[in-house]
Amino acid sequence: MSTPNHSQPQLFRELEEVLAEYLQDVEAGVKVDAEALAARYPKHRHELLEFIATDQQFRERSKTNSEAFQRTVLSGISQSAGSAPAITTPLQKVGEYELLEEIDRGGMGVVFKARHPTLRRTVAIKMLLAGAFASEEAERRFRREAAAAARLNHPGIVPVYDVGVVDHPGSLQGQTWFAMALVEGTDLARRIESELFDSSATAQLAIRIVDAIHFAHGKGVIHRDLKPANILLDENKNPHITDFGLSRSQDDNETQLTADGQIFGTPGYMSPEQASGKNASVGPETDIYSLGAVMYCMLTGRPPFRANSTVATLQQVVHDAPAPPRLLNRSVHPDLESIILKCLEKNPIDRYATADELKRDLEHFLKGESVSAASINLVGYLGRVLASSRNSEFLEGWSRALYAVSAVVLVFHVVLQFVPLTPTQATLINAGKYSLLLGVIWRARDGILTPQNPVERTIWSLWIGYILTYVATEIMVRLDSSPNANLYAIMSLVSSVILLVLGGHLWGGCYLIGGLFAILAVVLTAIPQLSIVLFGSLWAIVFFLLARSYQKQSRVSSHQV
Amino acid sequence: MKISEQQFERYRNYLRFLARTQLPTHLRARLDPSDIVQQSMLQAHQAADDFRGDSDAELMAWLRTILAGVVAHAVRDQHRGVRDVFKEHNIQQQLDQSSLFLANALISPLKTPSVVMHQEEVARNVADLVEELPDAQRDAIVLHYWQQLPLKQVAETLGKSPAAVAGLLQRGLATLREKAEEKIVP
Repeated sequence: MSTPNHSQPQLFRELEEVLAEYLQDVEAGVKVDAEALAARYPKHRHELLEFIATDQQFRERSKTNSEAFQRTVLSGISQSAGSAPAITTPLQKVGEYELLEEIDRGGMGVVFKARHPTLRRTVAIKMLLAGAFASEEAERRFRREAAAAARLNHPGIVPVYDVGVVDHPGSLQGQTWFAMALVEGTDLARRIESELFDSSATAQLAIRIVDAIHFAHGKGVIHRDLKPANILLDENKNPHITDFGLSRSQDDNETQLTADGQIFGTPGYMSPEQASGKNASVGPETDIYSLGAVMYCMLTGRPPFRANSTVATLQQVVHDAPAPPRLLNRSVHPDLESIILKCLEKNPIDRYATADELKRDLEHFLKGESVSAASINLVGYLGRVLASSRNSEFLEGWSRALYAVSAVVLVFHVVLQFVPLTPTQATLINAGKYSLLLGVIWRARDGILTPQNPVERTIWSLWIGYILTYVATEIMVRLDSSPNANLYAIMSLVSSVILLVLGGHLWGGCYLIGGLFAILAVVLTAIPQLSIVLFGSLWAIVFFLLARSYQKQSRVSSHQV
Repeated sequence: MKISEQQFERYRNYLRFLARTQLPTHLRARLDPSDIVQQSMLQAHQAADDFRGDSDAELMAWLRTILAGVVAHAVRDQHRGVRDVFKEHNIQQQLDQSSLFLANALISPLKTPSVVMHQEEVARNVADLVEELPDAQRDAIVLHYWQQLPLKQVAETLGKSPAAVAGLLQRGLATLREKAEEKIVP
């Protein structure tokens, strides 16, 4: 404890002693209460608190920094622009293998050329950097996946011979390695850099890649990180897919941002479901998407989405339609373009269901036969438009509320139509209808009435616009009491416009109903006496169909989780 | 990107600081970080045409690669031939990590106006600040936070008492914090 008569140097020494004690406590893992310490030495309060805050910040940052760093290295982002001197000293051993030289760096770690001395086999050893896994569970799962991938025996897939962990002491101890066949040649990314493929060459090579992927899917293995750099080409230009299932470990963290805001994987080839972090819905369709992206790149020299920053690229992957390949390369055959765009559909359900289906379409294309994806087929195109479902992730929870809305709308319009009411009573009933609807929405959204996302904002605006038009029309009709003015015919036209807008935002079927409303407007002018019930029924049907479609959607997605 | 003499100069403090983080404590007396940086700058200058990047980040990564080579050789010479294949890689990775830490240690990556200043620039500026500190304070900080030596070992290496080292750390960090607020975060 300090006494009031301490001189400056003595005070200094006391502070230093306290700090040294604090540091040694921290090193020993003792939790230090900064406030308590400061209270014990009030003279040094300021210095103590400031130092402890900075010191803790340094320690924390150093820790998170090294974690983030290892992930960064793992993803190959921290590659230097100049060439690093290659290591050539032999005889460093990994398992039974003697490392010969470094051949590549990036992706998952470092790749060495290595030799098995007794088997006389030259292999590629891929070394995963330590700290690659978020948890032991992640590492176990990774090994399981790798083991499954290792059993894939197909000429188009690079065989994995051996998996292990470096156990002898040294700088590599604890690192996971894979021994796989050494493919002498190049990879598709480098090949594309030197020359683009034409349509038929793309289809020919793609068929062989798709074949290998189909084989893997049959064995329950999904690649997850298919991209040109993972497709090796041997001297005879045969494709060999590598890194099967190896990217699994990268899916574990929900947000994969490293310290400098970079993301893992290769955003340009990543599927929308991966880019939006919905890892539960990653399936064979994910590889189909990436196959489409690879073909896209073979023809145009770039992935379907490429922006200035990773985040912007991911945004595009999730939300934007890809530029048609023919926009970038006029010589791309329209049928091949259709095939690629079908692979690149945002919703996995809209892509080819299996790799085999994709392969068949590619074969049809090569033979000059019509392909199932062709956009020339107007009926098929319309069918797709009508069945298309957008933004359903925003509205999945809505199905029950929509059933209720449908029922409320139907009941009220039946009442308004068939029960004789004075205008005041009708207005009251209408008011009751709207409060009931608001109540349903309020319940469905746990008491929040304001829109929470862009889709809801659109719907809110439309609804408010609808009510305003309704009130204005009602006033107009009452002011101008000519018998021809039919409130419901006018509202049918308004509804028609609203549904055409919803067709683009929610569900293609709305286009069709929008058309029906336009027809209804004409019908109501002819038979005004049934206006209310016909108009109300059509709206009830709209809500019912939407409710049913979201019910199905949420069943599908809960199935996937 | 063509790199001029003055441009290289901007990285001298940065490289010297990084070199300090990699020099083994028992070689402190024999290896001078300034010499290592001088050699690295010379190599960088001669190889300037090989540099293929066009951003500051790439240039700094490239300089770190060169620095790693020079450090590895210098250390190897001192050990007379005992070599580890992965030494150079390790050093390079540690340099990358030290550099990243340099950018994050003082200034929260969330707080940095990334629009205004990139991480690399922050790292370079912080390196300038650290290099300006009195020798003893800087050595204590490098050994304790970057080389992660416990207080006792730092004290032994510097030939001081643990309390004296704690004092050096406190004064060093206080200065850094103050200057960083003044010069880096506007």
